[in-house]
Amino acid sequence: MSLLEDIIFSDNPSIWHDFGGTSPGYAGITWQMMIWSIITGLLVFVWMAYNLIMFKHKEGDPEHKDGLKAGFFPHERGDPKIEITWTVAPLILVIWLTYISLAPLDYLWDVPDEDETGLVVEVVAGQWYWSFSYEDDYEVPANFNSCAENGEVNGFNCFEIPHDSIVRFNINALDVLHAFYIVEIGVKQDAVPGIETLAWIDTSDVSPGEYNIYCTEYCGNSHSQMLATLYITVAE
Amino acid sequence: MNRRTLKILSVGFLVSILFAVSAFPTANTQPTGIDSGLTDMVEANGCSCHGTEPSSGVGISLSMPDNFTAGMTYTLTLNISGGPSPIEGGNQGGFFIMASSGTLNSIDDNVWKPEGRTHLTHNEDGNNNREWSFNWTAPESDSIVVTFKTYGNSVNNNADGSGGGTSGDNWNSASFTLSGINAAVVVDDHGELSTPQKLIYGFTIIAVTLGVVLIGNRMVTKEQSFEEVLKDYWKYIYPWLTSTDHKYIGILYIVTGFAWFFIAGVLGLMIRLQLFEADNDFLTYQEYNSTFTMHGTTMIFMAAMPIIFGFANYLIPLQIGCRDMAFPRLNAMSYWLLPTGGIVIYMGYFTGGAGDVGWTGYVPYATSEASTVPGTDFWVAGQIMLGASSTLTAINFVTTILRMRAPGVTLMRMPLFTWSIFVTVCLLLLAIPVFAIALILLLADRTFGTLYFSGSCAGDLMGTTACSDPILWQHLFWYFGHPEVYIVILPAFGVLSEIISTFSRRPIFGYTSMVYALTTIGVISFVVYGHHMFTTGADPLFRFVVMLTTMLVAVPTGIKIFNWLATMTGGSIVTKTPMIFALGTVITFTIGGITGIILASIPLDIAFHDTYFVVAHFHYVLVGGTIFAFLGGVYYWFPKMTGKMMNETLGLVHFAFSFIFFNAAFYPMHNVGISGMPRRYATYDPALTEMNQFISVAAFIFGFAQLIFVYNVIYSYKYGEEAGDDPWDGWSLEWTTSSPPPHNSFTEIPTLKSAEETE
Repeated sequence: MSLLEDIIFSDNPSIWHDFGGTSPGYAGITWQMMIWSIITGLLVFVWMAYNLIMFKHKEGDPEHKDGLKAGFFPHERGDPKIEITWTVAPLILVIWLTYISLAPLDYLWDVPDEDETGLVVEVVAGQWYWSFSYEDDYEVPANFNSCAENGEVNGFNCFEIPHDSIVRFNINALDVLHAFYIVEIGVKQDAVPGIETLAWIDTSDVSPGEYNIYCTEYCGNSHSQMLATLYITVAE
Repeated sequence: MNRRTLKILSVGFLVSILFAVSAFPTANTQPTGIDSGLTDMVEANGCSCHGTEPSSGVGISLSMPDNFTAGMTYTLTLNISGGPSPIEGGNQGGFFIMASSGTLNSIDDNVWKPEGRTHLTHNEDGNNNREWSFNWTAPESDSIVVTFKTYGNSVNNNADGSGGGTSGDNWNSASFTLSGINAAVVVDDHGELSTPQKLIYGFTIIAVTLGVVLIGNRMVTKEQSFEEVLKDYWKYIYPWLTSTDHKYIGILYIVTGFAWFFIAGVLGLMIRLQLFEADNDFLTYQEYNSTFTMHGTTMIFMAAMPIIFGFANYLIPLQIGCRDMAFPRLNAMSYWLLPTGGIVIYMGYFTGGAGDVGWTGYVPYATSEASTVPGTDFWVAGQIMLGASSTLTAINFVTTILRMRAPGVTLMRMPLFTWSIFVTVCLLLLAIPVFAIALILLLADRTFGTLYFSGSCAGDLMGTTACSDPILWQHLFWYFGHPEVYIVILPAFGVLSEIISTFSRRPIFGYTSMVYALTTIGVISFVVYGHHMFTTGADPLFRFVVMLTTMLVAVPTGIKIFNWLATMTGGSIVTKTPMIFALGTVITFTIGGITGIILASIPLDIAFHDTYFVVAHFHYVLVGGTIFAFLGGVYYWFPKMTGKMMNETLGLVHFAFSFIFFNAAFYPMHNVGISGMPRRYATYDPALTEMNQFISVAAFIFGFAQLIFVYNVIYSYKYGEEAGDDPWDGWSLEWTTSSPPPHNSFTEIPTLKSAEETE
């Protein structure tokens, strides 16, 4: 993609499609945010341009009766009706935006209990690596060898999980703060020493393939090297 | 600690032990030595063989001849001692050696050379030893000095053959030099200078040279002695060092603020240089981390706030019609704590690396072993001084504004800039002490081993239940940190209100609602800080409440933007440089505000948190809001401060370059962030190279465009047109006194009249 295209349309499937289990398309939260951002932005820019064109000072303009004078507190200008309008309108807009943020939140925060999941993954973050392990009684499907094929060890900076399953991550940190971020799915959760944090995904929402895991909480020298690969594979 | 947590921790521990041997991206050593995939990492950032910190308990020696002859082959022996006791027949250690010249070759089964590389390391057989021999063939020239870089790792065999237990192992590094027989003996240097050190030394040399040229020139042209020249200069410097006049202190603040702004700007450009391509080695990771820490800390505490308080110092007494601040000496002390604190923070560069914990200083990283560079201690200590400076300033302004207004200046007749500063200092007074206390606790954690924040459960996996809370720091920090960003942006709103009203030749639309909007933002700012912590795993209700309050900030902010636009409507708009800057600010700040609302939505924040989207957002607000507004402020009040007008053409060129390249540099960061590039990354996915290069180039042009501004200030100060008392036809009291104001600010205390009274 060219640079210009990159700037106009940023390509991250997690943001634009089926975000966090909300309705896809224009009703989804990303598109709503986008649409209202553009409307608000245009309102400000167009109004400003209109002012600059219509009310530019010209040589010989008479001094207005409201004009400013040094040492005099100017006449009060204002119109309560207009001011109340642009207090209430943004208020309604942000309440709407908060409201539409709730549906994906409900979904995100409803972390499945361990018995409702297809797989529980224990994630341990340390300086500077990720390690993963399946729950004790999990039978690893025979075709889970993507990590090995790519010269990695399944469980160390690389992990393979089944498609079409609810996967829960129990996240722990060994030393300092880290954050578990699956880039293409948009899941992010801090790893805090001494506290177990949780994240989960429903892998039936995403297509099988390769996903990147980054550490997004600054954790020291090799922070930018704390990467891992997540394979979502149809189990056989 | 309950059984479950224990179980998980043990599993985690075992897993980490099990896999610690495979491809560690940070160049951890393995049973088979350092292979070619890790060499670059070791060369750039050093080894972290089985642990991040070297141990001085491990000694490395290299037996070699006294000097070498060209082309000859020598057998060298490397030996390590210290660390855990060796175990006969088990794993005992490993090594790495690289020569700056000549060729290293293995001579037995214990040592190997990875394909395509020049270094030697141990192999599976070789890790049962603590001594290795190998051949080195000297280069074709023997008039040079060869350096051997070595790492030695002393291990305790707690891994069973195939695995790799790393606990209890110690490592160290050492360099050895060997001279050619014809080499001139060189006095040992004190090690390589780091890039920031080079910059600091470079700038010092330039400054000293300029000083010598300046004084020498004076001595020659005026035929004065050295002492006379210094006395002459002393006459100019002395008042600046001793003054308690709010105008002097104001200008000191502004100049200091812009000076740090340029220093931090250079640091910002260094970040962009590092990110010009993926896997760049312009800075080591450690240097990169120091660079972004110092960039953020300097910009917020030593650039933005001093510029704001410089303007406040200069203008508040003038705008409310008093002769000086309430406590002039306290004012001077607040100022002098600022450069002092700044120097303390920068001392880190001379002690082996400045603070590298990020401007947020999140624990437990900030308390951990990993960030024990003295630079971080300096960073904490310096910030405590800056905190004291801000607290004293806040007290001073609150008193001045409440007690010292001239007749006619009632609270609801204060200029909006004064109002914005009043709200700001109230926030400061409530927020900064919390931060200062948090910093003192952090310092105690770092130096006395107290356990306020360290999250020490994790440090001591199998034993103690005395956990301290790493999240507490985030609560304390952001309780201060969020009001802090409003402390930085509210005065910018004040400046915009002044400029837009003056250049529209109309009173501000909705003065009363502007004041209420300011105070509302001030109050809300204390209940939104949780939005920095959406991903920490805090209680959903807490997160939901702060999402709602954060969204509410948009309402008063919207009122302000609409009021500015309504002020212009029906006005008579004069498009001089200050107004152009103010309008540019409205545009960039609107974009920054909109992305703020996007980030307030928790589901989207979870995706964008700690990515470049956030970086883009706060640069739009802080550079596009605060810095642009105050650049406009300089163009607006420069005539009052110096009596000279600034050059319009240069001002417009400065604006055009700044505005275009600011957007070119920071807008694409949104996209980089959506694509998933986290902030504080020293390298990135090569797929984003093109975009990052575009950002870097634009950032450099933006940086250099600021030199036009510096030139304009100096040029206009010397050659600018005379300004007169009220060059822009403003109404507030600072325009009633002369430009520059007399020593006591007003020859006679003015009275603010009302426009209605004249009719």
